[in-house]
Amino acid sequence: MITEKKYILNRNDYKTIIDFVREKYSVNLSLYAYTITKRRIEYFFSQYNIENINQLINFLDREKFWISLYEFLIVPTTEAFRDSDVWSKFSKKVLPKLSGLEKIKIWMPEVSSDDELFTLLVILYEAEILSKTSVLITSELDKTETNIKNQKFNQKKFTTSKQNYLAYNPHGCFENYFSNGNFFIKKELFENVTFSRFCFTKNDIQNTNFDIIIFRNRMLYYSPLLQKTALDIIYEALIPKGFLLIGLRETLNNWALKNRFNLYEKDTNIFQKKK
Amino acid sequence: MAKKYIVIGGSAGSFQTILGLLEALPKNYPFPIFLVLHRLKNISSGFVEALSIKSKINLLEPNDKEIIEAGNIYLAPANYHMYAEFDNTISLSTEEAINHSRPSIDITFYSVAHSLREKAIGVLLSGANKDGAEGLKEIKEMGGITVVQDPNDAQIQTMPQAAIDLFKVDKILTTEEIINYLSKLHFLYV
Repeated sequence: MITEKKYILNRNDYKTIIDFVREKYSVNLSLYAYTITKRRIEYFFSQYNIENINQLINFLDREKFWISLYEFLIVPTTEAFRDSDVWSKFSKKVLPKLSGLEKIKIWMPEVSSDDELFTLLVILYEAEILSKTSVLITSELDKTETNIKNQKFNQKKFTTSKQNYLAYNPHGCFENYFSNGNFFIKKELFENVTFSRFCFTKNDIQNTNFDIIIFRNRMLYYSPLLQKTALDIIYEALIPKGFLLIGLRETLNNWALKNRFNLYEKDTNIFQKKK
Repeated sequence: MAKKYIVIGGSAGSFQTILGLLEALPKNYPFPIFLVLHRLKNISSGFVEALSIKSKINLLEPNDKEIIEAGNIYLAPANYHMYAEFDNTISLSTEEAINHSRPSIDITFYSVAHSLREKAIGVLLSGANKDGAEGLKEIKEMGGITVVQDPNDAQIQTMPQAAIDLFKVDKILTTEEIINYLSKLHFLYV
C-alpha cells in the first residue's frame, strides 16, 4: 500500500487540509487519529500523482474528490465473526439476559461495512430472537445502507469469515445466510434493521434506551477528544444495565466513564452500564 | 521521550533471532522496542508467553492509545496494524492488509520513520515476502538508522534482500551481530 510514489504531508500541509475541509465541508478531520489519517490521505492522493499541497487543495475543492476521500478515510471492518470468542460469550452470556424482554433494541454506530452487522444478525437468528430485535445502524455516509444491502459480501473475506463463523458455531452452515449460493446476504436478515445518517459531532441520537450498543474497532480512528464525545453519547443512549461492546484493543481507561461501567466478561471487552 | 526507538520487523525464519535478542537484552533497557512479526491472525493467546520466556524486559501487546514507555517491548497484536503516533502513544488499526499482512511491518516502520525520525532504528529480519523494505527506506530518508539481517545468514532471504535491493542500508549484520549491536546500544546513547 505504501509502495506507491506519494506526496508526504508535513505538519503545515496537514493543517492546511484540516482547515480547508472544516471550512468548506464542515468536517473536522483533526478529531481523527493523526498518523492513520495522514497516511490514508497520502495513499489516496498518490493515485493522482499529487506533487504539492496547492495541487492537493485544488483536488479537494471538487466535492466528488472530497467525498471519495471521506469514504476512503472511514476504514471498513475486516471480516465477519472477527474475535469469534467474543461473539460466543456475547451469545452465551449477554443474550440470555435479554431473552425475556418483549423487544430488544440494539444500536451499531459508525458502521462502515457489512461484516459486524452480518455477524450480529446471524447470531440473533440462531438465538431465535431476530424477529423481536430492532437494530439501528448509523453512519456518517449516505451510501452505507445501499452498500450493505445491495452489494455482494466481499469474496476475499468470505473464507476467513467462514472460518471464524465455524469457530463460533462448528455445527452451523455459513452458506445458509447467502441467497442461492452466491455472495448476497439474504434479505430477510435485514427485516428489522433501520439505517440512519448520524455523526457524533453533529447530531443527537433520536432513539435512546438501547439494550445493547456494539461499537467495536471504531474508536481506533478517533482522537481522545472524539472518543470522549462518542462515549458520553453512548453512555446516555444505553439503558441502566445495558451492554456495550468495544474492540479487544480499545479501552475505557482514559475516561471517568470507566467508573460507570463494569467489565461484564473477562477478555471480551463486553461492558455493562451500572445502574 | 527516549533517546532511541527500536523497531524490528520479522517474518518466516525470524523467530529464533528474536528469541536470542530478547534473552540478550538487559533489564532496565532504556529504549522502547516495537516488534512486528507476521503471525496467524486468529491465534492471539500463547505468543506473548512464548516470546517472554527468556526476556528480562516487559513484553506486551499494547492497547490503542497506550503511552510508549522506555524498557517495554510492544508486540503488534494479531490482526491489527500498529502505529507510533507523534504524541508518544500507540495507535492500532484494522485497515486493509498490506503485502497480505496485518500487522504490516511497512506500516509500523512508516509511522516510526515520520514520528520519531532520527531517533528511529529499524531492523528487518528474515522473511518470505517484501514487507518492511519500503518502510525501512522511509526510516533512512527521515534520518534514522537502518539494519538488515545478512541474507546469507537469514533462513529466508527475500525480506532482507528486498531492502538491500531498494536502497543503501546502513548495516548488514548476522544474527549474532544484530543481537550484539542492539543489546549494547545503550552504551552508545546514554
